[in-house]
Amino acid sequence: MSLNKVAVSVGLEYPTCQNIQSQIESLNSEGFDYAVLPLVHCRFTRHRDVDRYRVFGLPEGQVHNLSTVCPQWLKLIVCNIQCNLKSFESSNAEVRDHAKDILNQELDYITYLGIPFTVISIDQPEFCNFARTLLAHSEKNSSYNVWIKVPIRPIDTSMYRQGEEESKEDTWDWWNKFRSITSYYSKFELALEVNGDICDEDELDRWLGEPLRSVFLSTHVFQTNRSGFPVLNTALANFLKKVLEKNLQVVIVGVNRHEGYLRYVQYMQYLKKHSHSDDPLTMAALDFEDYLQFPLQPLANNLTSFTYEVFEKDPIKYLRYQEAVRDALLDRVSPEQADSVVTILMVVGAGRGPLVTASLNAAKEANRKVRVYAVEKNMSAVVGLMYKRDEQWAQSDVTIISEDMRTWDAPEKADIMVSELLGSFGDNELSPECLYAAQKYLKEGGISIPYNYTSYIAPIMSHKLYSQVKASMIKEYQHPLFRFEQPYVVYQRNKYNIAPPQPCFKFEHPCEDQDPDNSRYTKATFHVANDSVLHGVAGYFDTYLYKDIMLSIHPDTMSHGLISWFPVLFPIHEPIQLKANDKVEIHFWRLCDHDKVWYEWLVTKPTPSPIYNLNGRSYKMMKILE
Amino acid sequence: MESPRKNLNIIGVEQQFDFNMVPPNIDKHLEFVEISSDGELLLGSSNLNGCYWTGSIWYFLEPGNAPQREKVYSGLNCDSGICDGKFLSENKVIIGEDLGMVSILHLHKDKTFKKEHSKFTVESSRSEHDHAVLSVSVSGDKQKAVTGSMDKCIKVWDVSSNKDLQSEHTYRPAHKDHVTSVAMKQEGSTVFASCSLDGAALLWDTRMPKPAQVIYEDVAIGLKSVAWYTDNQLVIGSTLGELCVSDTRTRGLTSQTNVSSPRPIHRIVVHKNFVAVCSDDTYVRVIDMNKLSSSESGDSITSSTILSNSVTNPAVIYSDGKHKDYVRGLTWAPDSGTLISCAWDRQVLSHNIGPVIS
Repeated sequence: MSLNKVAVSVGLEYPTCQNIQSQIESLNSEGFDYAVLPLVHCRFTRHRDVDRYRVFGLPEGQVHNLSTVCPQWLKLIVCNIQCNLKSFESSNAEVRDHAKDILNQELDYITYLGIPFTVISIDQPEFCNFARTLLAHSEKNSSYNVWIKVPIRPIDTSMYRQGEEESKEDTWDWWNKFRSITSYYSKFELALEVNGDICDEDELDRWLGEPLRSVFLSTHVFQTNRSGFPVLNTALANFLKKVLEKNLQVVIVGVNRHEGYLRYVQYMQYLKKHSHSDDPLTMAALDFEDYLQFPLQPLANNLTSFTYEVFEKDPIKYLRYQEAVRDALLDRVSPEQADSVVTILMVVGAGRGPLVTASLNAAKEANRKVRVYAVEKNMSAVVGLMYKRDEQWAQSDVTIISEDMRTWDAPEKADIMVSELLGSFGDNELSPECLYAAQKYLKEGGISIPYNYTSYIAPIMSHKLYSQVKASMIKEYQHPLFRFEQPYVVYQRNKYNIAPPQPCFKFEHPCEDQDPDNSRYTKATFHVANDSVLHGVAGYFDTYLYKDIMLSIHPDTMSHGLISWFPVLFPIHEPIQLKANDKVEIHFWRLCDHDKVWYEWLVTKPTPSPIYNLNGRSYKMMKILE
Repeated sequence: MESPRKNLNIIGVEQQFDFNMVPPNIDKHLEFVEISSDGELLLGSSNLNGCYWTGSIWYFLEPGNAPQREKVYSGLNCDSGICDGKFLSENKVIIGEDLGMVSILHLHKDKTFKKEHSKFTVESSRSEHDHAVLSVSVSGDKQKAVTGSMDKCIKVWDVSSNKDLQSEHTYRPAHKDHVTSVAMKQEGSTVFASCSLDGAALLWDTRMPKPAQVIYEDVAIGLKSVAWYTDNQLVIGSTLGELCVSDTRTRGLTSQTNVSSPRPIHRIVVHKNFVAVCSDDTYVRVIDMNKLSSSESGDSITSSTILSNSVTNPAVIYSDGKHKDYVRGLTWAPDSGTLISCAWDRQVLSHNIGPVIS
């Protein structure tokens, strides 16, 4: 793949707009996609007492003339608005009013011109008047998005100033304060200004968990390699790879310090090329990043053929099942008995039959005889099973049972029971309820594949997921907390893991107790490494199929190539501010009554939340077909 | 002849002008004015709200003729606005631009040029600042120049040789916000003062490993302008229109007075005991430091003196509102009580301040 085919979106920041036509025209030749520039001169101070107060910006005609350069000229410009935050927070009312007046004037102008993107810097921890003015304008004129530019580190002058200590201030706090006081307003996105060397990977990961839109890179941050090309230090280069992988914007700032500006763009292309991930999960998740979905309820709703189709495409899952069945057959039947013993194998919840195929393949591989029962309650899916029995499995002993596994009266007991009833949070598709009912026709000493599964929970920070949950609609009859009382299945990209996951609920099969209690309660305490905000709890699971053959979506033990499950998110309705070394205490319940199962969750440390989903008022998993 | 500016590190600087020609117009926003030792006038101008945000530099043999275009001796176009410039000698000037370029221009007074050809040539030009250069200062011995920029950076340049401009020191970041003003101490060529919107006024000595000392700091406000009053005293203008005098040895304020509250003080020029200031308003004001000291000296500054404003401030001995827009450039004519000002109203005015009390 040649470098110029690598799609990166790189902008160039200009300090002034000396000739906008030629500035925009030259972008392309240097490999840039857009320009970040001011439409009001940075030195053009003005008050209402001078006539030119009304002639404050680049003339409209000059901006509109850009359409002769490019019909989509609006896409070529990000307007840079210079704000003096000190004036906004001044103790002098006249100075404050003037700052507000000037900002409103510029915002009105970009609204009038229809400029879709603007960037404004936050360079100090105090900015409430500024944030208020911006939010107030933006709520009334929603035509533009604002990139809130925050330096990755506070500006440090201690290396020159005698007696000055390096600032310990964390600029993430500035951003966190800004987004909190503007209540996660969706038109405000984060832009990071890389203003020096950064090495702390956890710190960088926390930024990546934010709704990051662009990264501003000064040319003086680049080093020069032996061939004279601009390069970044390893930590920054890795950070930029992750940025480019997410298709975020990069803006080059400052004078050219190398052979030409094109060199910076080419370096970005190089990083993008070397970041490219062909991991099957990443590819499968492409259209689903941070996209909230409701978990399936296969027990209460019959799945569609399309859904089965999607999940049967998993490249890993059925191979693992085949290995598990094969090893189980080999362990259960000695080579001497291979010809005489027929193993009774039941696939419960057979769907369209991928596990039947996997089991038959396993038997062939192991050279053992099997009699397969495929039990499926979805009558539509049974049509396909019947067809497959006659065509694909005609050489084998396969019986199709069109029944609910919980009520089926089996003619004989099984040696091996194979199922795939797990959801993103393990037991959330009611695998325990199904398998404990079905174990009555599993022989004593029989094998369940899988034989256990465990769910995991972890506190996460995700501005993006939180604001999506917050933005979802609720109906009048629903509980006010309805949208926050749902688990969402979501490929979580824009998030930061506050602490590593801990086990939540575990189930084992078969169970000695014929009617085991499937309710659970867990309390877990997490240690907070960095200042952050709790937006919800991520859920994962792993499962052991047979012996040490397992499937996992736990971040640390993730099965490579597994695409069937995205993690689950349990939101909370009010973000909880966390400080480094805080403890987060989370409680989880799995509760059951005669026709449903539901989860409740609660945060008690550092500050308590309400109990979510009490009595399953917003979300429940039905045991009966709806 | 190709202009040395052609090889600049900024893209999109179209060669829309012939840099060998005298431009047809003086840009509308007059930014700075300087008088050479032989009494000739240098004028810098920008266009800050037109179609092209360019700048130009002009030379008048007779200061009284400024800013009449038809009476210029010569002029030169620049790629972007010019905020500040200083004489290096009678025929050399150093200027800083909005695109971050610092250039030395040569003024040819002896050679015969065609009338339409500029008598300025660019001797050397560097673009090392990432943003607008707001302030330029030259040492008394004309060996060093210092520039402060909106890129938060200060650069010290060797301007002694006839070779290209060389930056000797780059302090990045020198301040936490725009460097609004730099002022070389007239004795020697290693000590200078700087101030910034970050609220700090610093004293620099380029010979030191940690070169900067904080002379005055108030992070709640910004500082806009700084000038040397005596060998050990700095006059500092704030964004709130206050003028402070600070001792570089004790690093404390010796006096403070309101001049243009709450409008920022843009430029300060000192002549003996007279301190002339211009702010984000239309006034040229002169403060008699003797009166300031007598009325408001002392280590402790009470809130009542801080609240005194320019209307009643007895130290303000001259206040002239003839300009119709913000006054940007100020300079004292050599060895006289005459103050020259230029403003964004296209006017250059002369102010007779009268006899100097030394």
